[in-house]
Amino acid sequence: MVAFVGLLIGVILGVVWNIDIPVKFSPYISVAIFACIDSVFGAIRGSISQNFRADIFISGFFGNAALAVAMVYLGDKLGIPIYLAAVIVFGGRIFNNFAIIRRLLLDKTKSH
Amino acid sequence: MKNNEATIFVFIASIIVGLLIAMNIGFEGKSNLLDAKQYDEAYNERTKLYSDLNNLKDEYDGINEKLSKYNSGYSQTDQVKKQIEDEVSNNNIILGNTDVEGPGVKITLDDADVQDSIFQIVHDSDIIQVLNDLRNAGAEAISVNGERIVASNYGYCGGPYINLNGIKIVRPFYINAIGNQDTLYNYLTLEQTQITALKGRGVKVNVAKAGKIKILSYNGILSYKYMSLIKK
Repeated sequence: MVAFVGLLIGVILGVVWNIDIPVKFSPYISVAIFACIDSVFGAIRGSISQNFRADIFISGFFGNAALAVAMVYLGDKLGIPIYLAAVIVFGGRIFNNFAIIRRLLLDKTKSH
Repeated sequence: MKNNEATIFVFIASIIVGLLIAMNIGFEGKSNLLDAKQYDEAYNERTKLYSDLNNLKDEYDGINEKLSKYNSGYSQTDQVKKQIEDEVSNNNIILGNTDVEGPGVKITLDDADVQDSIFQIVHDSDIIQVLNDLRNAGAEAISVNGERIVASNYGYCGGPYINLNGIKIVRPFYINAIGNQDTLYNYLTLEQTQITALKGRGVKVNVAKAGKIKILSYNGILSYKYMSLIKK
């Protein structure tokens, strides 16, 4: 719930500030967004299963984004779409995390 | 407490993600990553544009050079004019529009005194072949009985006379040619030439070198009706 509120606030802020990033960096930001979403899902899952750790979340949040951007850059230079690897891994993990979140939430509602 | 902490972090992270999405959303659907084919096309286009640019630069340099030449030549109009006049007079000499003189050979052809057969008469075709021989030998100007021979001359047999470009000429035929004397003379006395053949037929033939021959200009009009300049 809090994630959606935060997302909404972020989008509104972005639209209001109207920050333009160069078209050149567009694919990098796209992959970085994916990595961040993955981290956020991981954090939600951690908070629900009561094993959330701030240091892991923060390092993952920025580290994953940086690594994804680095992969896009490398792929751009080598002529191979390496960013697909990042997209597939993060996409798979997002679905994985979502599945676990779903189960935990459903178990919680059942146990009540 | 721990849950609270997680909520705060997730909240902050969501805001960042939302910001990034908002920043990036304007570029969705027009990624700047090209696939191999697009890259190839773009690369080829770039190469083509570069070569175009080079060609245009060369052209520009050439035209500029010409222009500067004209500009510097403008102050010496007289010189340019003189050059043009020189060219015109040169062309006139080549075309046969001017009287010319120089070393060469004189040929005299006449029918045999005793005419047993048609072979002992000088025909129009004989004259034409002699002219061809002279041209082959490098004659620069030729006249027949004072009539300048130019590219559009024609000649045909009109009975006792030869019709050359509308002017009737009768025997004996005096053919004058300007050129290298020795070359002309030697060529004409070769075995395969018409002069030798005429000699064999019994026609009166006389070939002589001459130090100074005057050949008058062609007094007809050089004109054309059907041809026109090819536009480039």
